[in-house]
Amino acid sequence: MTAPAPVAGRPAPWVGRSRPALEGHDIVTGAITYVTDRREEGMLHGHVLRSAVPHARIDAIDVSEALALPGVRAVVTAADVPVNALGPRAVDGPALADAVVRQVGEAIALIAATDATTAQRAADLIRLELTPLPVVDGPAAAAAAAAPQLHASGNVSGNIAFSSGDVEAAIAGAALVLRRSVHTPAQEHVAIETPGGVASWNAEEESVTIWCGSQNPGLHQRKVARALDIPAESVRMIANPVGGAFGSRNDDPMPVFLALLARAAGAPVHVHMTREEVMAAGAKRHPFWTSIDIGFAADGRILGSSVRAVADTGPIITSGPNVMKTSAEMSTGPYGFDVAAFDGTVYYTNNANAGAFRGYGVPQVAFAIENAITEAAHELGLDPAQIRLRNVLDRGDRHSLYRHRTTTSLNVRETLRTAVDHPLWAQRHRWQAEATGPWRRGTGIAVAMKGVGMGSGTGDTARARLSIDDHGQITIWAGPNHTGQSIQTTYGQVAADALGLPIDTIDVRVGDTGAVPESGPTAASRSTYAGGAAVRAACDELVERCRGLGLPLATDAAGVGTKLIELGEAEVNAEFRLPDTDDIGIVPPEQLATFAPHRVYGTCTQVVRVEVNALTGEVRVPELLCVLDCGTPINPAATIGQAEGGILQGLGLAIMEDHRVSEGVPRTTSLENYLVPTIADTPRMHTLFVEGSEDSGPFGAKGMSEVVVVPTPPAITAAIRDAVGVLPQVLPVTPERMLALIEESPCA
Amino acid sequence: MRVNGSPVPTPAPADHGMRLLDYLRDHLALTGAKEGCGMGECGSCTVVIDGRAMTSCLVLVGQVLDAEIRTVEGLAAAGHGPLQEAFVARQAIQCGYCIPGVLNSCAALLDRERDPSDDQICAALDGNLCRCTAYNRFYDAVHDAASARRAGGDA
Amino acid sequence: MTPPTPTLLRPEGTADVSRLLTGARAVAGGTDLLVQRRDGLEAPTLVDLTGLASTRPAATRDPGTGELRISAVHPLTDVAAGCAGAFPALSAAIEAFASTTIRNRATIGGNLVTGSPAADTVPALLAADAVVEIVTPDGGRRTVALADFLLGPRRVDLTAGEWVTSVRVPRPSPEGGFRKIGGRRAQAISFLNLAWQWCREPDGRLTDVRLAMGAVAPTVVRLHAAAAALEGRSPTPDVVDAAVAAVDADISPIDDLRASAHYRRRCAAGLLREALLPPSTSGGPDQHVIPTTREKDQ
Ligand SMILES: Cc1cc2nc3c(=O)[nH]c(=O)nc-3n(C[C@H](O)[C@H](O)[C@H](O)COP(=O)(O)OP(=O)(O)OC[C@H]3O[C@@H](n4cnc5c(N)ncnc54)[C@H](O)[C@@H]3O)c2cc1C
Ligand code: FES
Ligand code: FES
Repeated sequence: MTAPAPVAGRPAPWVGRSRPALEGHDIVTGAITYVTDRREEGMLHGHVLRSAVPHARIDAIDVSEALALPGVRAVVTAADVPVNALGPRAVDGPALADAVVRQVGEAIALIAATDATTAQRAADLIRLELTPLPVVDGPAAAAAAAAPQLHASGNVSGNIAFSSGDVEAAIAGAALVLRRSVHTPAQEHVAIETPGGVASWNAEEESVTIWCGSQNPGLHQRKVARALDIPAESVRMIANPVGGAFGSRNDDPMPVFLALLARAAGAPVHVHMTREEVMAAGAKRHPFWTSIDIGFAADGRILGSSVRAVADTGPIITSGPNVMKTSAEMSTGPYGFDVAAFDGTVYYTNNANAGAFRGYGVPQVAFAIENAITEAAHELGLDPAQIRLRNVLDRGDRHSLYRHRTTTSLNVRETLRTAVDHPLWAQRHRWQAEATGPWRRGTGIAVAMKGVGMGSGTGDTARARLSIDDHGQITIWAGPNHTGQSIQTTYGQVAADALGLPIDTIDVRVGDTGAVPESGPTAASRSTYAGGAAVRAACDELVERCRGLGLPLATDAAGVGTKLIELGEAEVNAEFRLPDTDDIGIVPPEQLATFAPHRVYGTCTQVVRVEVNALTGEVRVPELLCVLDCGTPINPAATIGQAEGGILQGLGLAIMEDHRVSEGVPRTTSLENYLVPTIADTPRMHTLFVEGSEDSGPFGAKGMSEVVVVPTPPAITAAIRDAVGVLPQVLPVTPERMLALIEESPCA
Repeated sequence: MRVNGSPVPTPAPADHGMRLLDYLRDHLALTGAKEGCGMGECGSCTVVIDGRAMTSCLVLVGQVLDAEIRTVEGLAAAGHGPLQEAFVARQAIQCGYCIPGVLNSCAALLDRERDPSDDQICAALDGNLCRCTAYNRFYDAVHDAASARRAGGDA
Repeated sequence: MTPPTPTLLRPEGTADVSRLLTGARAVAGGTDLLVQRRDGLEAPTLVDLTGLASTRPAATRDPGTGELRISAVHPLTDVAAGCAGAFPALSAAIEAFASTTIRNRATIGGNLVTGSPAADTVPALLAADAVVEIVTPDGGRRTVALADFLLGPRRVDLTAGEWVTSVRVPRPSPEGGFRKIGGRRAQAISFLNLAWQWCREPDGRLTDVRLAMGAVAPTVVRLHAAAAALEGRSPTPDVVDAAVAAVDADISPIDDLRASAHYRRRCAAGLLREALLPPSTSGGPDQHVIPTTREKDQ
């Protein structure tokens, strides 16, 4: 299944052609209605009362004054929630805090009133009696012998360890052994639309419709059903349009809050979180403390590496152990070597809850290994690109940790080669020499790899439903929802080429549990790959059906549609099960899902130019190159857009973003003190694709939207190393950290 | 007060202390202006007031009773169709939530500069956060729009 | 959320402001006040000053004395245009201030009255010996030197019913600049900032050296010792070293969320050193300097 070549007499293929987003017109005219723009007749406004303290016992909640306030129509506390749980396990946390609050920002009560001001005033009237409890302010405190236990199961949320041999023995005779520790901070998604939406309760049917962003509408449907104790079929999630997600709409409890309020109030309820609420309560990228022991031969070959990681997931589990599972797999980077080990532990604390964030555990460990390779290149006197070329995995090679077989489309080497030939890298010495004043210049390179889909043994599946009508119009309900990627635009391209029909006769719908078959999350870089493959499968099946019946779909779709309706054959359901690796290596078969090694990976090399002000410590990034190995880019401009957006999030993580919490109390509370990159911080970017095709993907495509975040921080630190001779090990590299490093460095 | 070229009923004194953002969204049903922070940081609420881009979350209705206000809904009528088209054609959009504010900042720039430089575009957009794209296509789209306007004989 | 303001009053003209301000509070661009409202600041009645902008110019210059009079109620965009090269340090500060959308709202009056030690327009004004013109509740005027107006963090010499109408700058120097360090390159509150102005004599000596720094003390402060080390001298390496070493004497930074005291001290030295680099080698657009020479100005 490679990108189609033009065939005489057939329409030019859509795959590989840039196609503007279908909702573009509605966006630029302001006509599009985001979930928080929605207004319903008789709609009430909701507000969430949240904890101001990180850890306390709730002795009493008195809502009587709030309920008595004119205009208040409902107040919901834990006692009013039929099944007060966000998931099947206690560690999934309650919908609303009951016996105890464990985080600043944790939801305690929900209020619906005729207007937002009244709802907020009512929240102020709720009397809380709290007894402060000792605060577990980080993994070290969580692991301490006398630590308060945040869950009956203890403070360890998860541990994953694996090794493919004796690393210390393997690196004993190494020319260079590095033992390093790095830290990456909690990062906030800052999707520009804050969570919220509308829910509407149908009292007769005892059902609820929820318009609220979600990266996993099916999962949210089940969460709502659980909390309200109603059948899943009674919950309809309509999960777009929504203004960004990046992982934040995976674990978000907002759909549950909306549904609870709508039922309690018996009217449609609107909620739109403030940015301050999101800063406190929204799940962050897990902060990690990662150490690496890695040995190199004199020629730069990696002899073995052992990575240990500690992560802080806050008070509830959300994605913690799953994130660490991905860290484990990617702790060896895109490199092939004989002996590797990983040991990672996730702790519960009273800090900000952490969850899914684009990259999902990979940027954290990649920073450790890429920084070590950068340092090794300098120590061994090797070119930073050459040392990487010497170690990268090739097509179908075995993975260093799990020894499983990787995909034959793996093309890390070509991304590196392409990057090395680019003027940004080739002319780095000249550019460096042209620096003036206090601004020192450097160029850095880094490589990354990230699995696509949920991994082997997980049964990861996407589905699509297709129907044709008597005008020959095709409607497809498919796969992972979109949260701003306009995935339906891409699915339309896949369908047009697979069916050989004009693209404007194909209507693709996503994100509505009332119509779309369960397709799993918009996560793990799987939307284009898995969802696209399901769409392709549905289309292929229709084409096959027509061929079997001798119906000329391509030339007379209306006639064919009419005939298929007559035959009761006008609808197709298809699914795509993501292929497991065909050789699971040394992973015990019964633990395949525990480690979930991937078969398919997207890879990426980046080259970054950096300027460092030696007097002030400021770091600026004027230009960046990204070379992508993503198989066939179905919609190249959209793919580049994804890449650039991801890179900028990586840049933010590298030099400015840091959600700070002290003693459980968030210090970065708004967009005034939590900074994300502006246009003025943005480098010029060049994105290139390497040739390649993933045979299991739709028209050869594989995922890429996460891997692009990963190389940016280590490429930036490598460039800093090149500019001023010091290699930062703690992110973000703020002016303050940078200046301290420069001043401490022996050659300053 | 005029909004998108037409007079709107004079806001009642009781509404003078409301944020312009809320007035536009809740009283005039112009939901194109978005709220992303409520404190001037994100720019998704940006509208054009008397020719200048401003964050409507920090403007009170009573401060703009005599003003000419333009929102994303009024861009086409104000001759900014090419700008809107360029954003779509350049695929300068992802989730789109920031885009109304971005377009208003661009339009205010284009209304005073026929051929803005990259530096001017950067300065005009330095208060508009976009978390999905990496801003770079905004430059291309504004240049396209500027040349389309110049070619259109708009003097 | 931002609570709605119960009452917003609009004065008929300058004379009307004092009457309305009894028991009320002024609002101009709202870029500070409406943010504070989210944190619980009570403001039952606000008096809008933005309407006054149409009644007068954003800045006027006395052709005789060279004195600039800057309106406290105009948005910074207008102030920058109104000063047009006459006060490069302030122009550079405005260029580095927040973002276009905020510069289109925020006023000098608001920036002074918030009393933030990190306020970006204040160092340039303080370095130039600015004088604050205040209208008293009875409609009279009083003036106070900016140095005396700034009392401490969020504290200024302004009593209930008073408002700031303008700022007079007796002698803006034609050579000056401003530089801030923030967490990013636009829309950032200063970790610290520096404004400078001086005259460069034909022989290269710097005279009338004036330096002021923000976010390194309870208020924006003048760097008197460093200025003295430069006064009348050419910025040779020794002179620069001496001036940079003298910065410490006038600052008393603290640790806060944005930066540590230690960094502020180190970077304060770095900022002055950078400002003293020959203009051609300072490098990069982050240097908000508008170089003009005395000769050109005449
Ligand atoms: C996104 C954002 C970015 C910012 N970035 C910066 C920055 O880079 N640098 C910086 O220095 N500041 C920054 N600020 C803070 C703010 O913009 C400035 O302090 C601004 O100058 C305030 O002016 P204003 O007219 O908006 O004041 P307002 O908010 O209207 O008023 C502020 C205070 O001053 C009083 N007041 C206003 N005018 C007068 C007057 N004429 N007489 C008496 N009292 C008066 C008000 O009663 C109020 O107490 C930023 C703010 C925001 C929201
Ligand atoms: S909502 Fe107004 S700037 Fe963010
Ligand atoms: S397109 Fe999503 S924030 Fe800009």
